[in-house]
Amino acid sequence: MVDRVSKTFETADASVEAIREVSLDMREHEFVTLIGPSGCGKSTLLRIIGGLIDPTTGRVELRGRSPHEAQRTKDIGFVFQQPALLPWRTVAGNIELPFELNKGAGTDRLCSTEEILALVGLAQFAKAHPYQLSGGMQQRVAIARALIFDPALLLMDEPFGALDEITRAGMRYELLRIWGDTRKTVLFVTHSIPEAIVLSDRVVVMSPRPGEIREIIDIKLPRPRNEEIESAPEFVRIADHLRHLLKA
Amino acid sequence: MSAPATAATRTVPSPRQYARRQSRLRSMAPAVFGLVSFFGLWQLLVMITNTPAFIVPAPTVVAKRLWEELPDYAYEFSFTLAAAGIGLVIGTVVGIIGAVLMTNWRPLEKSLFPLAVVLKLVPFVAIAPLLRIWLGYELQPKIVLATLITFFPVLVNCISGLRSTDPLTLEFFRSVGSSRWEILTRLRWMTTLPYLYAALKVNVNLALAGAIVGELFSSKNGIGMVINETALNLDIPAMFAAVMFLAITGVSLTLFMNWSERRVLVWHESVRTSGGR
Repeated sequence: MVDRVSKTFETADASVEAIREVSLDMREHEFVTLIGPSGCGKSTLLRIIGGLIDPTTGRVELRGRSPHEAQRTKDIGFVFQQPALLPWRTVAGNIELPFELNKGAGTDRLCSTEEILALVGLAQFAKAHPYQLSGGMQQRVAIARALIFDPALLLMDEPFGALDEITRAGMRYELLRIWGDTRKTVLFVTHSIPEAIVLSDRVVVMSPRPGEIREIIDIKLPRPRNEEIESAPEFVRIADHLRHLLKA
Repeated sequence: MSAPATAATRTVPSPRQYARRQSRLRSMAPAVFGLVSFFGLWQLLVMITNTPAFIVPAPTVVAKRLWEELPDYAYEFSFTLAAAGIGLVIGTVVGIIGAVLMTNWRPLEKSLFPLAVVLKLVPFVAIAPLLRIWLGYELQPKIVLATLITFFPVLVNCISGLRSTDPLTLEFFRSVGSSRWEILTRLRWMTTLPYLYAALKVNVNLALAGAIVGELFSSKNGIGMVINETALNLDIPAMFAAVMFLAITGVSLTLFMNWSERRVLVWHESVRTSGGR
């Protein structure tokens, strides 16, 4: 739950208001996408929710606790625009990493490392090093690393932003499949309209800086979804509407 | 893609490994040619000009003398190596601890780093006589010299290394509630290793130089003492032999450092992109 959160960055000679009075409620097992023009503060909002930065005003609660408490109980799984893997560890070693950190938080585990590798389609790469994998594969390792400790909330910051268009289009269905199996609560930042519609239960549209919520759109397209959805009339209608909102 | 060689592939080189070995030999050819011509030319000039051995000995004379003196030099060198080694270890440990403290606590960096720079700028040769007066003729003054020389490169490189951590990886560590200690040992330390190695590779030879300088000024043992004594006796072939001995050990140590770096940092770009050289 996000309640009237604002963030102003103070630099030496200026202050920049990144987001203003953003409020958002999320339900369990819901997939929500934040979409908006670049620089609208969507990544900032995600980092505030994940407890990586503090809001200037307003408050964030996850199951009744602050983001910092949620970090301590390992209830936040982060996936960034870059895989951010440890290059000196194998794929399996990277996925096991969360269990070696903050050990006091208990040992929730979604499934075995072998199972999660199979889930993200990398079963035969457990012993490979990140540099031996393509960008898309590395990002799947990052997703597995964020899921393995069974966090309450999965935060994804343009996870496919650094991938080429073809890989990117495939990855969104890959992610849908993984999400279908785990049903995590996901907050996903993107600036790709098709990505937002295909993945989400709800799309939150943000305005240019200072970021405010312009509209929240329910996506009622039936699940499970596949590539065909992108030519459905309902999809095209929502895409047009989003394009219009983002232009204005 | 270089998967670690299994026992089977190690005993029987695969065609690809064979090809790689061939190409490595080929890439070494110019270096071998350069060395051979250098010594060949030296030999030739000495023979043509009929230079006496007490001014410039021919390489063959030096090599013969080195062969005779080898057991003695190796024994003396063990003292040099011990002093350099202990100094290097102390300098490295102090440098690492200093870098960790300074990157974690700004005031400490602001007050101590300038001091370290001043220490670095004092030519270490200048304090060797003082160290003799203070510490005598055994290992200690040489260890102190090697420590003083080696600690600064480690400090500077480790500070850069500790600060070079990927910001997103750091955010991931924080997002799961990692302690500062976990971030230091599992993330920052590992990203610092390539920087530390760069410093160590320079330091191995710097530490030796420091120990030898110490021995030139004051020592009962060590290869520097040998050079000093042969100089007093004007035994020029023996001096050349001692210098050649140091050249050979210097090259061996450098090759060893490169080899161990490849072992430890298989994952790092600098090792991967150098094509196994």
